[in-house]
Amino acid sequence: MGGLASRMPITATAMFFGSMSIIGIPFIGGFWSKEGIISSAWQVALKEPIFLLPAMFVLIGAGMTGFYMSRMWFMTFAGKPKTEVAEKVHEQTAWIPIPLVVLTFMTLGAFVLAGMHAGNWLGNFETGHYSNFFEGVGSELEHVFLNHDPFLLVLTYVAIGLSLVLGPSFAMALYGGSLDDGQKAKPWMQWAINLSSKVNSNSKFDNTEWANSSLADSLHKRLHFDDIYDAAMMKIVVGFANLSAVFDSRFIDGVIKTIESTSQEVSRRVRSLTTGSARDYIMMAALGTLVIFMLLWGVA
Amino acid sequence: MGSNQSLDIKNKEFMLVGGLLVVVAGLMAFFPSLDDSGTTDWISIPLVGFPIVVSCILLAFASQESRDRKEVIAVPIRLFTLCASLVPLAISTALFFDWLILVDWDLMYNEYALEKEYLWIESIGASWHVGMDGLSFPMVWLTTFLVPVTIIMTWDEKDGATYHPLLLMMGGALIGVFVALDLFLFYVFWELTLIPMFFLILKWGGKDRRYAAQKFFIYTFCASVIMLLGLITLYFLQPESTGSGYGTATGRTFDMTVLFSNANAKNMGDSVFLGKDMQNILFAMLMLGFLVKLPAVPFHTWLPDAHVQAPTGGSMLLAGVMLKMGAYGMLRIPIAIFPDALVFYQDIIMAIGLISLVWGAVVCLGQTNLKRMVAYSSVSHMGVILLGIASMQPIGYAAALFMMFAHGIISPMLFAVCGAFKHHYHSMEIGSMRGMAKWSPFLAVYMMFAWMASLGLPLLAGFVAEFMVLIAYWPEYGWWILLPGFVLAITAAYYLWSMQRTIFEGGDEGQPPESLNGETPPDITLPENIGMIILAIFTVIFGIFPFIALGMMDDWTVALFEGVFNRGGI
Repeated sequence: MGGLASRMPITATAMFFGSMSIIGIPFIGGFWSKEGIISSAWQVALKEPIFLLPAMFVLIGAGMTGFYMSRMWFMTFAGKPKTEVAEKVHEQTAWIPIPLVVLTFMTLGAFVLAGMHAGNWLGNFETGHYSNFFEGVGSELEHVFLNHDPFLLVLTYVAIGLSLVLGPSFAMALYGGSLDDGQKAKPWMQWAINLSSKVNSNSKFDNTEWANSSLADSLHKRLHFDDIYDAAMMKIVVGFANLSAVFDSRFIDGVIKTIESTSQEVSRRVRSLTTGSARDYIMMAALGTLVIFMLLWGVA
Repeated sequence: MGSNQSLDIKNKEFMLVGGLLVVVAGLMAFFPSLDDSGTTDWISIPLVGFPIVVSCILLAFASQESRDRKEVIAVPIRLFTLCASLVPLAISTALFFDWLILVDWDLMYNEYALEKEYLWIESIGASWHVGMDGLSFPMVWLTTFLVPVTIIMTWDEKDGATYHPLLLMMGGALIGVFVALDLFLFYVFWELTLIPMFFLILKWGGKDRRYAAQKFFIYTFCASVIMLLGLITLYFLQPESTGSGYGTATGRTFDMTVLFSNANAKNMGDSVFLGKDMQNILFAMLMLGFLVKLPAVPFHTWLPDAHVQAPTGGSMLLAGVMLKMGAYGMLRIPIAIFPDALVFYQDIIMAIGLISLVWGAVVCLGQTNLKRMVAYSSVSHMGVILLGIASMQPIGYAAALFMMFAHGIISPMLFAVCGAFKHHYHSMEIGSMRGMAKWSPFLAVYMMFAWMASLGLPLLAGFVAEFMVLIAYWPEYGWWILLPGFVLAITAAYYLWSMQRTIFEGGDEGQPPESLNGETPPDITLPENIGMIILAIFTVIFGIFPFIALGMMDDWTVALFEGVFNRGGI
């Protein structure tokens, strides 16, 4: 793909704001929850040093999100089309844009939702303190951007810097680029594309060596998890199941089959006593009578 | 000449249908007053006698005809069989909704609705004693429901003149097992069910049908003989009396209700009916017969053979109702008479249930034949019923009952899908083809639905039962619950894997099985479609509104625990 910003404007817009939300660009949807999670993680880490490592990871993760989401967007929607399909693609049905637009506005409107901070705007039932919407928004903004705790204040701006500046800058440097000549994206995306192409041409990043490394290869194969899983499932579990199936039909059913064949064999042998000749029967009757007499004699 | 002959055939068909209608009308007019009590007997003739008699008449009629004529009369006979099978369904449904008479299903232990008793063999104390309660009524309704569905589903089966009446007879015999309240009668019907199934497998089965039919018959028959020995021993060990129902010559009775109340009266405090050792022996003998029928590992090997060889209709009734005879028998006789032995064997029953559950599922994963896989999944699911019984919790028993019912709707659908697959693709091998969804979208949808229902997808009937069993299992056996939980994962694995290798994959082109020799496979026929959609609808209904059936089962369970287990000792 590549260069889809001008060809699929609605999709590009939705992805633009959606990515911004996930990255945690201030005021947009994901920012509010991300800010809360990072500050909570660090507050815990300050009290319990064992949580420092997860708190660090949360920050690093914020930066990485900034990188990989921007990378995805610039690779797909900025730059020149890389395939023939990408050149001719366009939006057709109304079914896909409608939910995209609705969800985009929801994402952007998260600013309003954050302003409805329950304690401030909807009212605190315990203290009986009620305030209006603007007061709620104001106190929320103050809480986030002008926190009285200097540590949290610094933390907020470090997180913003990582996810808003550092991550996207790397992505722009590696994958940014202007659209084809004559193609123009919507103004709210054009600036990002222009910026990315500027950053890209000014920086001298070359990542071919990294891209060809075995690390990239194993990352591409999801650290070989699929292979390991396949081997475990197909070789061990299915192998065991196949063995069980053989055991079931050979041994468990085999016991039954042995009983069958044995009883048939016995009946075949016993049947051979039935010779059909009167002489044999008379002899057997005589023998039986003799045995009965001997038994009676013995008892008496 | 040709037209004359067809006219002749038409007249004969009309005569057949008309004559049978007269016979049936006579039967129906007769059944309200079999005794002097004035109350209608809604069980003996409408549910049991009617299907068996009608099927016998039809079979006798069809056996007279030559091979060519059989094909011609198959159509009216099939239609008539379907109509006849709808009569018990209408009556059992009406009994549930109180349309005919007001039936009180909230019964005490050892009380039965619509109970009727006629003297039969007075000298030994055997009587035609029928009745229904929360244990048997869902099974009776299920049977009356499945027979017409099976007939519709296998509408195009060859030699329908004898095939469909056999299904009807099977239904009558199965209902007889569930309504019998007399050990003698119970055993008669228990063995009677073998006969139509034996012929269904023998005549319409696959390549190894002779072997499978004989194995099925002899295997289950041997087990029932052990059960019969247990029943006869129980008969002779019971206290002698001369009351009503007791045999004039033997002074003993086969009447279950009398036996239950006698046993219940003796099973008080520390006293034990027939003594502890004798209870354990008789319990084991009866359970052996029922476990083979269920079937539980290691007595299960007759089932895959019978299923693979049996025709679709036979498989549907075999898996749907016949397997439940085992579970029904367990709950009806040994558990009610020998509660101390149940406690004695509780862990063993749990172990057998767990082994059936795990072994059935693991072996499923190793099967290459679609029908064999479904057969083993039945073994696995029947293990769940044993777990419910071994849990000794009211909810476990209610879950076991609901499992019997839910599996009775889902497993016929599984076998219907297998049958349709065999019918149109002439192959049962998993992986012999890919991309079934391309040619047979309906069959693919039904397969997916049935597979999902069987692996316990929430909102479908199977889930309710499995979940309840797990709830009941926890307080008694604790962390052992991880094993059945793990089996649910294996169940999902074998179902999804077989689906992936049948419905999906193969790209846009798909890959038809070699058995079709390059022909394009068709989608399912209209009768198959109707049969499967009915089963699917009821799977959903009982998955979302399980209480329709569960209420009655709960009442029965509570009554059982009040009546049998509630005596201080247990």
